[in-house]
This record gives sequence, structure tokens and C-alpha cells, in this order.
Amino acid sequence: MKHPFQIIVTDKKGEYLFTSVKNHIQIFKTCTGELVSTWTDDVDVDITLKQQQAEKIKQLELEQQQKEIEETHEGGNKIPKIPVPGAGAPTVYNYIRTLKLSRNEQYLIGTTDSDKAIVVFSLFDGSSGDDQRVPPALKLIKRQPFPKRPCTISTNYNDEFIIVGDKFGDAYSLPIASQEIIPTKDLVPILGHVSMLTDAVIGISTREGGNQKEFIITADRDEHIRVTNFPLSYVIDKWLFDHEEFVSSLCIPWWKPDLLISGGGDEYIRSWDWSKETSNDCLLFRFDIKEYISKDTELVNVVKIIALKKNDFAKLCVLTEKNHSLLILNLEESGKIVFDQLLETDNSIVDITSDLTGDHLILSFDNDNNKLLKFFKINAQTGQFSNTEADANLQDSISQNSICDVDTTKAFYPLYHISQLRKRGEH
Amino acid sequence: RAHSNPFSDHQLEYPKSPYAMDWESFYPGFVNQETGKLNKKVEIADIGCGFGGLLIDLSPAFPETLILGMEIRVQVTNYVEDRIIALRQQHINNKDFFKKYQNINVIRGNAMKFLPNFFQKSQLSKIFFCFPDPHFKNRKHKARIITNSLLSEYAYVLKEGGIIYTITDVLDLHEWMVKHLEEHPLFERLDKNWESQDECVKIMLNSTEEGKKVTRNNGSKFVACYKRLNNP
Repeated sequence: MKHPFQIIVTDKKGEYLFTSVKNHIQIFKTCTGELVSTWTDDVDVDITLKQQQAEKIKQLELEQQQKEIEETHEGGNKIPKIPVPGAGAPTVYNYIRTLKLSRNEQYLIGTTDSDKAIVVFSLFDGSSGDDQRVPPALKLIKRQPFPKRPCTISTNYNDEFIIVGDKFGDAYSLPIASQEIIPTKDLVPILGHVSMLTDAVIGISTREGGNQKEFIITADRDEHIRVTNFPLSYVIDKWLFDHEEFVSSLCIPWWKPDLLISGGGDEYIRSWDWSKETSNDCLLFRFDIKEYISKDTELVNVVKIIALKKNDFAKLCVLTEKNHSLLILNLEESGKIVFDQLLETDNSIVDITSDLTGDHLILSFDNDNNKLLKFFKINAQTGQFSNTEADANLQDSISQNSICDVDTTKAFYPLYHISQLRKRGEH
Repeated sequence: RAHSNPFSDHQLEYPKSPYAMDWESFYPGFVNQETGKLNKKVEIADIGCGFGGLLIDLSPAFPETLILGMEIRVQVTNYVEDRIIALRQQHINNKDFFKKYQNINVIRGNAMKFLPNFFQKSQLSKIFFCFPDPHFKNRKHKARIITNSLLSEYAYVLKEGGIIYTITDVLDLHEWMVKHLEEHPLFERLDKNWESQDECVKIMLNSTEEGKKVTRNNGSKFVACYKRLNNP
């Protein structure tokens, strides 16, 4: 049986589908379902522990040498052991947790668990000529480890820098094209939250005298959304206050850069005019999604919000965790959000992606029948979503071409982790 | 307990935003009788105020300024609350001292996580960090109250020209705080001459319970004060 796709990402035209399954990254051609490139993270899960062990041994040897110089005394040095997790300890996985395309679609950036690194791929290396459309190929140009596990990736407006957010609340900025690896101890964060970072996006404000100004918008587990100058990230612009639970997803519709949509652990999706002068004026609208969430989930856990547009139809797709439906909302010019439709599915949805044409809304599923994907299109006249026969064939062939097979659903890697962001009281 | 983990999910109460904060109940002596509202905002914050010694000495020095202490330990916060209530009671019938101790109060909170929930942009003119937890271990350094990223938050709530006051008896922590404040582009150190003339430095050196303990033990006190520069 094929393992579900954990992450799916499509390019602006919807020509290729970039996916992660366990520790594999695969690229498929959407019009044929053909697998065009793969990459497997074969770094040992224990690499960090092994490195620590090696360092300790080195340190002990040094100490030993010094001792020997001081006096010829017998030392009881032992080789340190790699700690073995006890019963019930959380499993250490080795999978790709984040996948992001740079804005110019020249690079694909992922994060790996094994060594807490980001992996940067050049997709069209050495084939910059436009004569022939060459399919993207995964060429690893950099593997940069971080002190804490990276969990969110973004690139700035002109794709000069990769913005990496980690589980410790810090965000880093690294030049995208440079192949230099910086030692983890020399990495200096550009900003930090005292809470786990959950999402980071780059926003462009055109408000001030027509000058384009870049901001980095970060969300965390403590209900905070923070707007910070970029690259002068020591100047904080404002916080957007209104969430009452963790914030897990931020989305700036590509056609409306001043608008920000946010969602997380509470019952509302919010829209913001994030670049306004005072933070109290930023909230535009709250939309209650609770009633559209299926009964089997008590609490709302928003996994992802994406915005798509076809002609005058501006839509938001809201994915909530362990849900058999995708909530489609209409996004009005004013930032008001209105219910549109509920796309019901047979299986629980793991991830969603869409292109800029509105011709590809792709869903990936958690199931054991090798039907891992579903394609939808917006009807340009009615604004409704439909799935065609041709789509069904493509879905099947992509699923069939995926290289990751497992014997039972028990071998699935954990597909749901958003609900764990909810705070548990100490007392 | 003497310490508290600033990263844990304490059952904390904090306002959803600075606009949602009910300051009137904190400073009843300053509530405008006609409007029922405060006509001024908190301007001085003592982060990790401990047993409240600094607040109590700052109160008469800045009688018209609202001052707030923040403390993460529940029992300590309760103690300071009781202390302020008692002081207010003692002076309530004295007409000359009508507003005495009405300008200070304390709140339980985690300033490292939720400072911007309490204060608006550029609201504060002074922030005090008196004898903060030194967090000696290397891997605990992110728990220190002065870090590069937290300084950006302090700069956000401080008005331009506002001042950060730090004092500690731990040389290593003093050097750490100075190093990070020096590195931050929005802060500039105030010199020894300024320190010797500033009223708050005097109060800070002698008023806190920690400071008195250090004096009793003939320990050293290290002071560093920084001015909030204008945004570029």
C-alpha cells in the first residue's frame, strides 16, 4: 500500500506537484502523473546524538591528556553511551516536515527531522535556457543544520533570503543561493518569540507613500501574530491581537497583499488589514467555522488556509485536522468572509495546495486504498468546484508512481500534529 | 519557590490585548470621577518586581505617574498586593496624602511572553530589571530576561528616549546584559555621570529587598542604564 502524501505543493501554473512522503521528496508532472524527480533523506536519525557522543569523547580525551601531563594517574574514563529512549518515549522520526517553493520557483526548500536542517534544492540547475521546457530536478545545493528543529519556511519578496522559524521561537534569515554552511553555534536569529513559532510569511506594504516595504509576519503558540520590519527585524511594527488559542496558519492572498488571513485553535478565521498604523484598527472580520466542522472533532484545529482566485471568484480553503471535508469560503473585497461550500471527501484530508490559475486545487488523503489525491477545478462561471474523469486518472497514476510503500497503516508516519499545539495547563 | 520557568504553560491570566486591560481597578485613586476612566496610562514598569520594594520607593518619587510591577510567582505577587493595599489603607484618611500609593500596583504575569498584551507601542518611559534570575547554566541563557529578541519587544513598548534600568549582583549576568544591550541597535548606554545624577538609579540601588540583602552581605551591585534610540 502507498503511504499518504504528508505535504503537497504545486507551482503557480499547476504544472508540477512537489510532495513529501516520509523521508522522500518527489516531483510529479500534473498533466501526466509522471514522476520526474525524487530525493531521499538518508541521514541517520541518531546523527545528532552520535555527533554529541563524538564531541564528548573528544572532550574526555583532551581531559585525559591534560591529566596525564599533570600526573600519571589512572583515570576511569568511559566511552559515553548514546542514550536509548525508555519505554513510552516519543519516537524520533525522520521525515520532511515542510516544503516550500521560492517565489521564482527556482528553489525548493524543505526541513528534515534527522539533523534539524533545512535542505535547499535547485530545481533547474544548468538549464536556465528557455528554449525547452525542462522538468524540475531535485539537486541538493545546501543542507544547513539548526540548533533547534526548523518548522516553518518562507522566502523574502525577491527570493534573496530564506526565512526559517524554529520550535524554540527563533527565526533566521539565510541567503538562498549561498552554498556556505554556517556552524549552528554561529547562527544568529533575526527575531524571537518566547513560544514555538508556527508560521511565518513575508508581507509587502505599499501604504507609506507608495514605497514597497517588507515585513515578516510570525505566528506562535501563544495566540500572537507579530509584524516585524524586514530586514531591520529589531524594529517591531505591531502585534495583531484577537486570537484566543494558538495560531497555526497565516495566509496573504496573492492578489491582495495588505490582507492577512489567520486561523488556529479557536473557532474563528480572522481577516486583517495588517499594515494599518495602529494595531487596534487591523482586525477586519471574524468568521465562525465551528458549525462547519464535522461532529467527530470537538475542538477546531486549523491546519492550513489557502487563498485562490478565478476571475472574480476569490476563495479561501480552510483545512482542519482529521476532517473529511474542506471548508470553502468566499473572500469579499472588504475582507469579509462568507460561507460558500463544503467539499465532502471519503477520507481525512492531510494537506491541500492550489496554483494561481485556480485550475488546480489538490487534496491529499489519509487512506489505505492508494487513492492519495483528488483534483478540483473552479468553474469560471459558477465558482463551484468540480472533479472530472480525467482528473481521476491522473490522481491514480500519481498515487501509483509514488515510491513509498508500507505494509500496514500502522507504518504511516504521524499525519496529525496540529492539535498538540493546544496548551495543557501545568496544574 | 525562588524560580519560575518562563517557558511553561502557566495558568496565566492576561488581557487579550492592551486595549482589553481594565486599568481602572488597578489605580482607583486616579480614576476620573466623571468619566469613570483613567486619564493616564502606566508609564513605568518594574519587571520581576519581587517583594515590591522598588515600587514602594518609586511611588512618592513619581506621585503623578502610574507604575506597575510584574511578577511571575503567585505568592510573591499576593504579598505585594497585600502590601500595597495596607499602605493605601494607612494613608486613606490623610487628606494631604490622598493619592499616596494609589499610583502603584502589581500584576502576576510572564513579561517574557506577554508584555505586549499589557502595553501599547511606545507607552512606557522607564523599564526596570532589578536583580533578575541569573540562570547560570549555559543552556538556560535563553531564559534570561535580557536577550536580543526580547530587547526588540522592550524597545517596542518603550517610547523613544525611554530608559531601561538594570541592576544585578552577578557580574556574569551584568556583562551579559551589557553585551546584549550594546549589540541592540535601538539602545545606547547612559554614562556614569548620568547614573550618578539620576534619581531612579539611587532608588534602585537601595530600595529592593534583593539590593538590601546584597548590601548586608557586602556584595557588589552592577548598574547599567540604556536609552531607547529613535527608530531608523
